Formats: sequence, C-alpha cells, structure tokens
Amino acid sequence: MRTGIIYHEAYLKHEQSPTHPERRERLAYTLDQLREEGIFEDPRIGIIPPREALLDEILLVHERGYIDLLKRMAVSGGSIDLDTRVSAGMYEQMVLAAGGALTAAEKVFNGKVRNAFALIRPPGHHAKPGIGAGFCYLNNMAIMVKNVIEKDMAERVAILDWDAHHGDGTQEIFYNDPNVLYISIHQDGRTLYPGSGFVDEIGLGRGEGYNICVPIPPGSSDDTYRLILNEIYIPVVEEFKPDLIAISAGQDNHFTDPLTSLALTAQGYAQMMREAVKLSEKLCGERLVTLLEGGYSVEGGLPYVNLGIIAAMAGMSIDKIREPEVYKEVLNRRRRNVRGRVERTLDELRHILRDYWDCFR
Amino acid sequence: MDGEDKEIKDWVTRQGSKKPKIFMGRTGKFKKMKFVGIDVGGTNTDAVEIEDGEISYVKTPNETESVVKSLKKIGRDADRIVVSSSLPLNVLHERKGGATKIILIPGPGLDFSYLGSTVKGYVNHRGDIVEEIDPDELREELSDKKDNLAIIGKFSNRNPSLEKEVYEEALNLYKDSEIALGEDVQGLGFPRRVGTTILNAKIKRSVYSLTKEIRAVSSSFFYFKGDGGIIPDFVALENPMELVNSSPATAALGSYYLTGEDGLVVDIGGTTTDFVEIVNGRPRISEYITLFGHETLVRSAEAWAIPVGGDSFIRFSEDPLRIGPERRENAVAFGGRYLTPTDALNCLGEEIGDYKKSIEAMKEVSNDSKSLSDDVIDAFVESICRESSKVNPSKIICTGYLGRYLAPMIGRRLGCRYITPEHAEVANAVGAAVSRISLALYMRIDTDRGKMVCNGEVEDIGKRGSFDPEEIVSIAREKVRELAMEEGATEEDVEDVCLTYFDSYDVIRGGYRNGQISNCIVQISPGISSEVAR
Ligand SMILES: [Zn+2]
Repeated sequence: MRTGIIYHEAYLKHEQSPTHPERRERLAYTLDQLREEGIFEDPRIGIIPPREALLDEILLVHERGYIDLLKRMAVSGGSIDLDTRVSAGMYEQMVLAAGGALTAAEKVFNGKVRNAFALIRPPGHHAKPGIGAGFCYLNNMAIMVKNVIEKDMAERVAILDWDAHHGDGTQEIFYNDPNVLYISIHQDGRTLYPGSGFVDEIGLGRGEGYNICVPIPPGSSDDTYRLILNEIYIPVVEEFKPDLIAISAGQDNHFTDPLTSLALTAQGYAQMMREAVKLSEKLCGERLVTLLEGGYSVEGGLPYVNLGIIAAMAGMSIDKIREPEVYKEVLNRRRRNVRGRVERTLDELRHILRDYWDCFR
Repeated sequence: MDGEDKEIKDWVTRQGSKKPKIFMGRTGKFKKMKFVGIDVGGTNTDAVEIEDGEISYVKTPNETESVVKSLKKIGRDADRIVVSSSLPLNVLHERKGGATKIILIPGPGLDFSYLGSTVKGYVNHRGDIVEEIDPDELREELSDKKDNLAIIGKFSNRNPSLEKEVYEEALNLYKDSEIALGEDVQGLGFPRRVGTTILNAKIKRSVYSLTKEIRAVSSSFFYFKGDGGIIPDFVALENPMELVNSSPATAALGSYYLTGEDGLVVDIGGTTTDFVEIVNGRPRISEYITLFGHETLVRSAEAWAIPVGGDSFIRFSEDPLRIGPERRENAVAFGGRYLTPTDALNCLGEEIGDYKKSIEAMKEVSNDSKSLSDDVIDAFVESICRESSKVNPSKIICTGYLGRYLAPMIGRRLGCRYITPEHAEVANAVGAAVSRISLALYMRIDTDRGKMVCNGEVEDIGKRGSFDPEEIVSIAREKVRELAMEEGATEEDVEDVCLTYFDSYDVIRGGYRNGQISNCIVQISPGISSEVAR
C-alpha cells in the first residue's frame, strides 16, 4: 500500500451549525466522489482509522488551562470567538482529529505506507497554544510535528501550508524553532483573515530564517503557485533536508471558495502535490504527511481537489483531474494576472532571506 | 410478432424437441402448499415440486423448451415458482456473450480511458448535469458497432439522463435487449459499475429469452439471486448480473435442507463444478465479486467454480489430457458426439444414460478404454480435490448429477467425510423451492420531488423535510415485509430483514438544503422457508 487515508465517520459529525461554512457536506461530497472513483478499493490506497490523541501529546503544544476550558465548553456549550463555537461532544472530535494527524505520521514512519492524507475535521492551523480561532481548536499540524520530533522519529520537518489563510497558529508555535521550517503561501493579510503573514515574518532567535511567508494577491492561480514552488519552496526545502514533508492542505484557495479570492484549480492542487511527492522521494524516503485544513466551498471544487491530491500522492494519473466545465466562467472571472506583483514579492523575500539560505545568494 | 420476438422464438425452436426424461421420488412431511424450484443448469433443467411432504422432480435436457416443459409437467397451480439459472453464467464461461462496445461518460476525475471509449458529458455527485453530451462525437463513437453495448456514466444512479441520451441514440443500432445501462446497477464505484454493466450487456439477451420462455407458461415467478435473495422476474431484467452466480446459494440452501449439516458443498454439474461452504446453515456472502476479470458490484454467496463438469469436452491430444474448459454437446450417453467424463464413468461400470454408447465410443479412441477412462476420472477428481483442499474441509456434501458417483473418490483422496443426500442430483432446484420469500426491495426517496420508488413503482409522498437514515431504513424494512407477506410469506419468515445498501445525500443549492435523495436496498434474510422447515 502506498497511500493511507486517515478517516473516521466521526469526522462527518463535526458541524457547528447547518449553515456554518465548515459543515459536513464538505467531507460528505468528497467521500461520495472518492467512492465513485473507486479510490477506497484501489490496491495503492488503504483506509486507516485514526486513534485519539493523548492529553500528554496535546500538551506538547497547547496550554493545560486552554484544554480544560475546551473540555468544559464541550459539556456546557460555549464560544471561543464568533466563528468558533464549541458544542456538546466536540472535544472528542477534536481529539480524534489531532489523533488522525498523529496516526498519519506513525503509519508513515513505521513504513506501513509511504505517505498519508488525514481527512480530518475540525481543522487546526489558526489554533495557538492558549486559544483557538477561525474554526480551529487544536493545532493538528503542530501536535503531529512536535510529537514526531519529541519521539525521535524525525529531527527536521518542513511544513508547507497552502491554505488560503495565513496559518498564524502554526507559525507562532514554531517561530523560534530551527528544526521546523514553516512555509506559508496565503492570500495577502491586508485582504483576508487573520491579517498576518507578511514577508518580514521570518522567525525569531534560533528560528530566524526558518519561517517564510509568501503573501499573494487576490486572483492568484495555478501559475503563481507553480512559480512559488519553483522559486522558493523547492530550493529552500532541498537545502533544509527534512526528515518529513508535511502539508497543511487547505482547500479554500480554490476558485469557487466563497470566503477567499484566490483562484487555484483542482489540477493546480494535484500538480503541487506531485511536486511535494517528488521532493519527498528525493529528500526523505518518500515520507509525506498531508493534513486537511480549511476549505469551505461545498458547491464546487472540493471533491475534485481532494481526488487530485490523493491521486498525486498515490502516483495515479492526474491528467483528467479538473472541475466540470460549468465552472470555467467562475474561474475566468476570478483569475487575475498577478505575475508582476508576485515577482516583486519573491524578489523581496529572496533579499530578506539571503543571509539564511544559500539558494538565495 | 416483432423481430425480436421472432428471434427468441427461433432460438427456442432451434433447441429441438427431444422428449424429457422423467424421474420421480418422495420424502418428508410438510404442510399442504406447493412450492416449485427450477434450476437451469448447464446441461439439464431440474424442476422440483414440494407439496405436502413430498419431493418430486422432473429432469429435462436443456435442448428443449426445457423450463416450459418442466413447468407444464410440474408447476401447475404452484403457490410459488422460483427459478435459478446458470444460463447467463455459462454464456460468460463459454465466452458466448459477444463483443461489447463500452461507452463511458466519466467526466473529470481519475483516468478511466483504459476501460472503454470515453464521450463528453458529466453528472456530478449531486446528480446535476454539469457537462453535456456532444451528439456528433457520440454518433461517431457508436458507429463502431459490436454485438452489444454497455453505457456507463459517473454518478449515473444519481441521474441517469445522460446514459438515457446515449441509449436513445444507440437504439438506431442496437436492440433494447442488447444494451445495458450503468444506472441499473446500485452502488457507488464507477469502475465496478463499469465491470457489472459490461457483463450485463453480455448476458442480458439470454436472461430476456429465458424470462419470455417462462412467462409464456407462468404469469409470475421469482428469480433466485446470487446472495440467496429472490426478486420478481421484471426487477431482475434490469441488473441480470444479480442472478448470475445463483447456483452456489441454491446449492447451499438445498444441501442444508436435505442434510441439515454444515460442510463444503461440491456441486458437480454438467458444465462446471461449484464449491460453496455452509456455515450455520447459510453460505457466506461476498460484498463485491470479481468475475471473468471484471470487478463488479454484485453481492453473492462466497463460492468458486472450475470450468470442469460431467459434460466437459476432453482434449485427449494433450499430454496429460485436459478436461474442459468448454462443453460442446451432451455426453455421448445422452446423444452427443464427443466423449465426456460422464462417458468415462460409464466405461468404469456406471450406467448413466445410454451407457453402452459411451463404451463403444471410448473403444474407438483407445484400445485400452478402461485405463483411458481411469485417466479421465483421475484428472477430473484431481481438479475437484485441488479446489476443495483450498479450504481444508472436514466434510464434503456432493451434489449435482455426478455427485453420487464421485463423492467416495473425492472423500477418499481428501481424507474427509462425504455425504450424498437423497435428491442430491436436484439439490439446487430443492434450494430454490425451499427458499423463503427473501424478497429484495430497491427503494429511492427523493424529498425534493416528493417521490418514493419501490422496486420500480413510483409512489407520491408529498413535499416534506429530510428523513433520518434510521427512518428511511425502517420504512424500507416495513415495506419489504409487507410486500413479502403479500406474496405469501409467513410472519416468521419476514422477521429478519438485512440492509444491503444505503446511500443518502442532501441536495444543496445556493446554500439551502433543497431536498434529500436516499437509496436503500433491504432484503428479507435468505434462508429456508418456515413452511417447509425440516
Ligand atoms: Zn483557510
């Protein structure tokens, strides 16, 4: 088996309210698509049930006081912020999502699979040690990476966070850490929540240079991501030589997403994943873990995006991965020529980072 | 008479009009109801009637209007007729299904072009048509005419319109009975729906003919499915692959009825030998079987078969000689021209059919016809034992028309107990006859359109909100119980209902939940009817 999909029926249950964007159709439609494509029966792919994360594993990232608060709210109900409510029974779902991330890493490191995609909910990359935010409660990625390093499975981990939003939670947790390279490609913080993630956020102390933010303008599409992968992500990761490649695979940069203004296509996601897979083959024995983050477009692209990501991870053909043609017009309306602005951002980044990375000298 | 009817008529007439042989027997004690089970094997059609404690049967060679003749002899005023037929399976075994043109409407996703010809068009996961068919491309693709046609669209069981569009166009070139549609195959899983539909295209015609033949003498009957369920004949015509592997389940039910014992059933027929394990009185069920290299969505009793049977053609010219895989004609003892294992048994002292003819014919092939016959039976028993030993049986139950001749040899070679029950030669037909009304119900509820469809019949339920899955399943359970009891099932027999498929999705447009579409298949759990309980 090449690719493990970490999935549990409970991931379908997480629903803050029927009209909240982070609702269950998101996964339900994807699962229907995967079933119809025969993904679950393909010998290259295996479904792996998640385990629950242990309290000690969560406490490597989050503060005890915050966890106690979450547990209390999961009994009585409550709200972290306007977007992030806690309802009864939700703590178990969070623990199972974080556990899904841990399961993915364990299966990859014990050689059961070459790479793994954790189809987990709720997402995590905005969650900070002491507080959740933006639909996120526990930082699944950070919990996974901290545990992988703590348990001596890896020394260095490279995270690529391609969610449309800046992963401010993950960034904060590893901001001083030279063993975790955090690269985030996201819609410019001046135009989107959480309003951070600018080029000068490069890490602190020993972690200086190991935090890279690539803000991109609304309307950015496949070519922008390809450019950033080629110019920044691939050279830096090759120089960093990680033991594990991890991806926060948000899907809200898709051109049908109602909450953001980016214009990535399913084919674009599949190609990005294929590049990441190639990199994992070259640098770290194919070890790659992908975690689901945000992505709220229930109407359009999600089934094709997830399919494209899985196909690329499992080494299947991605030639026919695309959205149905009815969406062409939506894409054309949303996609803009941003090449010049992106080139300027990249020049600026290379300049800022030249003292930390040989590839930028 | 339209062209198609004439063709079927011709097909039936070509089979000749040999007089059927009739055997009769009796056993047991039952209530005064009359149940008929028909098993169309590769060589003979067996019809069993169980009435008031008696089993009687007619064996009719297939080279006649065998089912019709059997029913005229035995099926008069039956309370229930259940038909199990290996005809479609044999069509596939003998590769007589013809060449299939495969038209796929896959839209975006994984690359399925290796499975067939791809045309434009796409139905998405919610059943919306999001890409249209290109009529010119379609006509061009269809012009490459083959014997039959399989049309499969992605998510077609959520909206069959595009498949229907291809079907309408294809009717210019194909008959309805030569076209199979993916929408008739329940369940998500495009590659498996493709596999199932391709096989449906190859067998549809033979199931049509059989159905017409039976309908001519009996206005209503049931088909026995591979998973032991039974369905009204008209429901079966949509997805005939459900019938294709019925023989193992009938053999299991029949053997258990006749012996009351678990074990490995070795059903030695004319064309194939089937193997099925009985555990706690029932066969195990496989969710999705693979047949002839095609992955399918067909549920079936867990069984396996080898293309070796009493009528198998023998390749004497090969060294060592080879039995099967095809059946050319009857055994010489039953008027055929080619020697078979049945004839070899006659040369070793059995008296099956016109055994003297077998002996004469064998002498023409070899001076030492006895040792040649030994070689044939040795090879025959060896291939059966090789398959049996895969499950290390502690007991074998030999059925089928050669079961009683070969059971001692097989048992000895395997070193295990063997049983050949009385009526073993018609165990499959007995299995069909004693089956409870394990009726399957295909239900689809569409709250947006306010419709419920049960086994093809549309019912208005009015506009309403969505159902809980539990609610849908319990509606289906009640409904199938009701239908089975209308068909005459006892209350005891309908207690146990299993859910074999469920799929429900919300139709959401512009951020609002417009409706909910649910598909569900429930089935009265297969088993022996309380009316004929041992
Ligand atoms: Zn996001």
